[in-house]
Parts: sequence; structure tokens; C-alpha cells
Amino acid sequence: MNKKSIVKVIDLKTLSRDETLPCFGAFYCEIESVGKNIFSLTPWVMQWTENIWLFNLSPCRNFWAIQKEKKKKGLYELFEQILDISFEKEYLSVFANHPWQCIFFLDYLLEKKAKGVFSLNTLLNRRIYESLPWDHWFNPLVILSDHLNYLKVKGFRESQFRSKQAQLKRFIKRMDLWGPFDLSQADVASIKRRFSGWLGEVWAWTFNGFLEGEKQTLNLFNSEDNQVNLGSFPWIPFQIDDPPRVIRHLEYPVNRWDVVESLLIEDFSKLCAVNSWTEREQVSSIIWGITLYNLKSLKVELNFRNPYSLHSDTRNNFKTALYQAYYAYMELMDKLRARETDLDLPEEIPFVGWEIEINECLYIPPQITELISTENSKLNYEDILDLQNKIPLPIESYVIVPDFFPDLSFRSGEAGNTGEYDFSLNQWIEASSNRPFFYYKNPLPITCPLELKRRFLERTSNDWWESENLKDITKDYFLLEDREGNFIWVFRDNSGAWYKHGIYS
Amino acid sequence: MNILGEKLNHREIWKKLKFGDSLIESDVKVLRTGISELDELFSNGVKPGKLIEWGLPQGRNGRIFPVLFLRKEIPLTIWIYADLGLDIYAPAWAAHGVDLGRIFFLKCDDPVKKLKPLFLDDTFKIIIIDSPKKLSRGDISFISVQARANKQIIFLIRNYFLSPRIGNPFAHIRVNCSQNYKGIYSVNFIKGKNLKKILLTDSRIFNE
Repeated sequence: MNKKSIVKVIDLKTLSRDETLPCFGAFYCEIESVGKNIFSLTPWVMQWTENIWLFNLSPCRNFWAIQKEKKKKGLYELFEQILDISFEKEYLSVFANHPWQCIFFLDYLLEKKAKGVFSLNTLLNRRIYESLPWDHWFNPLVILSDHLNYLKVKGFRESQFRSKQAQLKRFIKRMDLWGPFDLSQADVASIKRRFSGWLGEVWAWTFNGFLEGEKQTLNLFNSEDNQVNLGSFPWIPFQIDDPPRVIRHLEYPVNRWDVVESLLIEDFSKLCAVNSWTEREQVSSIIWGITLYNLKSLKVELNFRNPYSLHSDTRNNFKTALYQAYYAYMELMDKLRARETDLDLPEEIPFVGWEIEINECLYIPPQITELISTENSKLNYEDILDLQNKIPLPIESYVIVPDFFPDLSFRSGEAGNTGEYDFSLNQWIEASSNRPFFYYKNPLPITCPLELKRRFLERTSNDWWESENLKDITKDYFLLEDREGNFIWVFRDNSGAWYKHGIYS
Repeated sequence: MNILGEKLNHREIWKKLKFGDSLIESDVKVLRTGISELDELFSNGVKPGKLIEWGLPQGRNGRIFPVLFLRKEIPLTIWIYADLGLDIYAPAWAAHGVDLGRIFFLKCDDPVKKLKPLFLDDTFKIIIIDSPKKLSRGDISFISVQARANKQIIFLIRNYFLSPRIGNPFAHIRVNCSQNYKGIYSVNFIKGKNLKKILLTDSRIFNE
């Protein structure tokens, strides 16, 4: 057994073969006063209680993936070092694919007085999570109720929520159930029907990605899928008071981009000079609050897909920020042209002033700078992150997953990360040699093409022992030549239905 | 003027094109497929600064040819594909020898208008524009000038067979590729130093 294998056996935190970056984290630490260190892993933070914080890592996925590759460290090892340096105190942190799962598991670990970093992506922790008793599930519902009240969520009534919890507790006692997973066969709809919509939502969050046969199909790092996954979870972004801000009152109305651009360059420079922040903070969002000629105010958000150093961009005249501002400006102009009020004003209503405010930042404390690698590797993936910040569309990257089932044989990845496995992926890669370069994510049903020329390629099988979907147990794939002479990738499922899955482009 | 209102320094660009710039070393090697008869027709490999136009209709498996150039160690590459309802099936790319750590993808119908920073920057040394829905002659001219300035290789893929009657003055080579049901690949050059049509078998292509 080589040294690497021995290390993996002893290191209980990383029993999974693949250190998949989790999307959410919960963090417990008795911090006397909250500083910018709370943003050292991500700019998207929520204060759950006085000492518990939630992280959403989706804006920093590429950034951490690159740091992990550059420093040749395990992901959790890197996070541990950063949290150790940022807080210099004992802390406890849990990472999972939903914030509720982090909170549930954290409650258990707090009772056990655990310390350090834990992830629900490891087999051991998943088993523990599945055996947790009810107390740890009910305890955080009080805080959840407070947050839902704070947000004045429509349809939520605290008294009803409490009474339904009492009803559920009586049911559990009657049925003598140890924990939520003893009732895992109950689907969300039945829980909602019997114990109210909100307990049903919490039920769904608890089992997200844990039920047998269920695989996570959402890309949690995609902003739309991230919101779908969060569902109705009351995420309340935490922000430091008094963010860096610059206000400009224009001497004359302007609406031409070349004029706006030169003024923005001055304002970005002034923003960098504001004392309340430094070059250690990497921006992920800037709010541009514009006052129009009719004195109406509009806010547009300049979003950067990866943490971006505004201070470092000074030498390039803030090109990256200006690209995002330009896209926001063009979108705003389109909206203004389409308006139905104030029609006596010019089609592109001029601006009379604006305010630029730093909305979200990733904070890198001084001691962490040495952990964050700045060496130039042969392939500089940080240039890709920088370029990503300049364009309005996401750059896609993929990694192979060791699975023969066509739809599950790859996933979207982070720049520079080709997936970490201790074994060669050749056999899974070779299995795809007859498959096309482009495919339909949702196969299109077609009529039975028996009269057309076709060549059998392969038979695939899903994890039938985990799946209740009998149609997908086996799929017979063919290369089909249609009437126009095009080569299509088709399959016939267990029930004999035919589907078009891709095109040999 | 570029997207940010900066005046393009045409004098600088043309100076570099005419006299070269010995200080700038190309880190793009010449791209080759490894198939001798094919590389010969591509003038022994595609050099930086060149624009190759491909006629590859959907369903004819022609894209295997641009992918052949990406099989060996490549610099950072981006494949910009139009929204035709299809998505990238990454394992097939890996199965054909493409390193997924070096190739990135972007779905965009109007690449020059929406992705101008990509062409102004030399991060990606190989840019493939696949079946763009919007690409004017002015856009192609811009791409080709930038390719030479940044020492990039551009593959422009069309969703139809190219015709010699409708030319593209910015492309150095124009070639149509397709496969028939018997597994024979046809490669027909309609512009370039070698105007020729060759036929290749499956085994010739995949056993290299």
C-alpha cells in the first residue's frame, strides 16, 4: 500500500474519492465582533444566529478550485487553514449542498463539542447524518421561524408553524421514530398535506440529494440552479455597515457611453482610494445607482463571475469593471427605450448623477496571502477568471466522472480542475468513443425508425438497484442515418420507445 | 473604435504584421493532426495568425476534423457554439484525445458583439467559432486582424458546405468535410495552396 493510500485511510474527513466542492457551509465561532474575516471564503454570507453563519460558495467556485490546484492541497485542508488564520479561535464548520443540511448537522456536532471542518460529501458523515435524532432537526426550526418572520414571508404564521411542529412530535412519539430518516419514505407532498407547507419545505431540504436513487441534477454553482436548490430558504445576505461608496452629481445630463465611461474611470479610482477597504478585498458585485433626468432612481448590478481585484485593475483603467458597466448600460438603455411613460423626454433618458457602491467582496486577510498562490503556472487559469469577468456569458468547463451511463459520465467543472481520482479514467473515456460531440440534455422522443439504416453501438444500464424508474434500466444506443443522410445518436429504452439523444456533428 | 471607445492603433497592428515582432514569442505551436496526407494539405500545419473556414453541416460528423487538431498538447482553447438546442457531450471530446483541462466552451449566437473582450485578449490561443447565427464580414475582418496581432488560430465553422462561388477573403484555407455511411471521410479544399479532395477511412483517422 503506498503512502498516499495510507494517508487517505487515516484521514476520516476525506473518505470520498473525489473532493467535490460543496455549495454551502455553516460556521460556528464565538466571535466578539464581526469583521471582514467573515467574508474570507465567500462574499455571500448570512448570519443565522449570533455565532452561526452560513456561506454560499457559488460565486467563488472557480477561484477555490484554482487555488486548490495551484497549492496541491486538499480542499478541506485549504479551508481549514484559511479559517484557522481568519479567526484564530476554535470553530466548527460543516459543508453540504443545502444550508438546512449544514444547520441540522451543525446542531448535532455542537452537542458533541466537535471542532474543525466537516463535509456531508464524505461517506462517514453521510451515514451519521442519516442516523441523527429528531432533536437536532427541531432545534433550528425556532431560528428559521425568526428569519421567516423577519422577512414577513407571505403565508407564514408562527403560531401555526409551532402547532404543526407539536403535531409532528406527537406523531413521532406515537410511531416511536428515532430520526427523520426513519420516515424517509414519506414524500414532501404528504408531509405538506398533513403538517403544513413549511414543514414540508424543511422536509425537502433535509433529504435533498440523500434519497436512494436520487442524484443531484442541478448545477448548484449555476446561479439559476442555485436559487432553485435554495427554494424558499430565507437567505438574508449579511453586509458590513457603511460599504465603500462614491457619489457623483453631474454638472450636466449625460447619456453617451464615451462620456459616462471617462467619468466612471475617475469614480472607480476614487472608490479604490476610500479608506474603509483595501486591495485585499476582491469584488464580486458593485451596485450602480443611477439618477435619471426625470429624477427617478434605478439600481443596476455589476456582477463579476469570479472575485475581482478593482485595485489591481487600476493600471488597466478598470477595463474589467468598465466592460460590466457597459453591458449594464446597454441593457438599461434598451429598457428605457421600451418605456411607456415620460415620452416627452429623449429616447435614452440622460443621467444626472449616480452612486457606485461595493456590494459584495471576498476578503483575503494578510496572513492568507501566502496561502493564495500567485505563481504563474504554464496555463494561467486566473486569466480565464479575469476574462470571465469581462464577458456577459458563462464559460463552460467539464470533467469526466467514472460512470458508464451516458448522462452521468461527466459534470461541469472548474477552470483547471480535471477531477481528482487515484485511478485512470481511460475505460470510461474509451466507452464514449462512439458517442457524438453534441447531445440533447433532454432526449427527444421520435417515431420508431425501423426502416432507416442503423448500427448498434452499445447497451447501457443505470444503477438499477437504486432506481425506481424501470424505463431507464437499459438503453440500447444506435447510430441512425435519417432520410436526409444525417447521423443521429438514438436509443431505445426498456419499454421500446425511441429517443434522439445527439447528433454526430 | 473598439467596444470601450478606444481607438484601435491600426498603425501598430500593421507594423507588427509587416515587420513582425521579435520580442513576442508565439506560444502556439503549429497545429497538426498527425495524419500526414492531411497535414500536407494544411501546408504542414496551421500556423498562428491563420483563419481556417470549415464547411461542416450538422449530422455529417465533419467536426472530427477540427477536433483532430486539438488532440495533442494544446494551449488554452475556446469553442464558441451557437444555441441550436444542443449541448456539449464532454466524454466524446476526451475520447478523441482532447484535454478537457485546456478546452473551454461558450454558448453564444453573436460572438463578436457579445464576446469582444475574448478576441481582444490573447488568453485563448485557439478560438473556434461554430455555426454563429450572426457574423458579418466586418466581424470576420476584425477577428482575422486580431488573430494576427495576438498570434491566435481561428477556426470558423459553418453549418453548411462552403461554395467556391461565395468567397471569404479573410480565410487562408476553406475546406468542406463530411462522412458517408460506409465510414469514409471526404475532405475537399476549395481555397488554399492545395486544392484537392481526399478520402480517408475510419482507421486512418483514429489509429493515429
